[in-house]
Amino acid sequence: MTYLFLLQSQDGTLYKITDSGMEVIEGVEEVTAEVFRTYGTSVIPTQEQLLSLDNTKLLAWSDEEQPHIAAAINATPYPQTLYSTDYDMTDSSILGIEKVITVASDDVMLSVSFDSGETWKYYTGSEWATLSEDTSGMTSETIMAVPTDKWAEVATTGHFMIRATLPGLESTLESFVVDYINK
Amino acid sequence: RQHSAKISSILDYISTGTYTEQAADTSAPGATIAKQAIKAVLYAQGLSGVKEWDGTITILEEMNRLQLVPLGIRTLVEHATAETQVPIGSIVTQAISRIQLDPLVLRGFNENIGFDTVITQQTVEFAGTDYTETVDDVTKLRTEYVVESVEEEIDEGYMSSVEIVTDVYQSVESVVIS
Repeated sequence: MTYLFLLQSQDGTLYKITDSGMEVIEGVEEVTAEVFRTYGTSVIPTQEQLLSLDNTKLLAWSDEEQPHIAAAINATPYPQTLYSTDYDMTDSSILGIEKVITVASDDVMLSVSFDSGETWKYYTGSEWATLSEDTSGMTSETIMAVPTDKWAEVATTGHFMIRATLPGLESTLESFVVDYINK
Repeated sequence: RQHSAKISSILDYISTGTYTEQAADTSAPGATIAKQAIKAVLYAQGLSGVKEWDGTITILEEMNRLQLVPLGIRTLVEHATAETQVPIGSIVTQAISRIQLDPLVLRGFNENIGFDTVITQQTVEFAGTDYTETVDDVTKLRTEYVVESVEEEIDEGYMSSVEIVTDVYQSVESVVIS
């Protein structure tokens, strides 16, 4: 099935696809079948044409059936921050946190919260400090080195959350386990 | 079984006048699970023979040869897999009655045995985003996205659109329309 294509920018401006690039279609305020017949092209726009505008919308038209098209995008997202649920540690068998064992790449930034995500802390190597940014934190090596007595200083509310920021395509987070002190 | 052996020895002594130690039954203990029973419980103490039970439970179910003329079906062998079960704890209370030792009176009291699960560790799970993926338990940034077309209204014919949102990405390497 042959479709006719047009491009539309975020502000609604329509573009005709040409061999040399794209041209604005002047004087058209509504997309109609006649607009497609007049300005549409059956050639699928190139990647350069699709990416020349931010947030482009590709319009496809047919007088016989509903067009089915898909865009396969390969892209690098911005750094992503993942949050755990707010874990409860008020069970009578739990006396505190002994240590943390995690498998993550060196660039993953980890932080911990004991007030349901209101504030996030990291360990400096000698004491706890509060973070001001959403994407900062400590490495897996640092959090695994926090001694039990330092966990006892902050794990006093009966619950905890973990935050992990993956900054790049090489970042990986495989596992995160909190070992408790038991009766 | 040892008790039974002792009793047999005594009965033998009564009838013969000679005491001869009777051997205890050392055959493998067995238990039967009722047909269509959903669950059965085997107690280690009940299975104990002359030596400590090593925890082995052998389950054998025999299914006779079935004859569906002219087809013959050989005897079936059924395998059973024993898995560790998490016990359901129930509180046991033993009531001790009032004890009177004149002139002392010991009030009655309850003795309770409770069951608790000890939580030794917490495996932390993270909520992913639209831009992360977890493959083989490893979470990382996602790089491949597919946007399907959606139907749009038009005065004549059929129109669909695919919105290629690029500002949510740090960079876009490629876009392929199919």
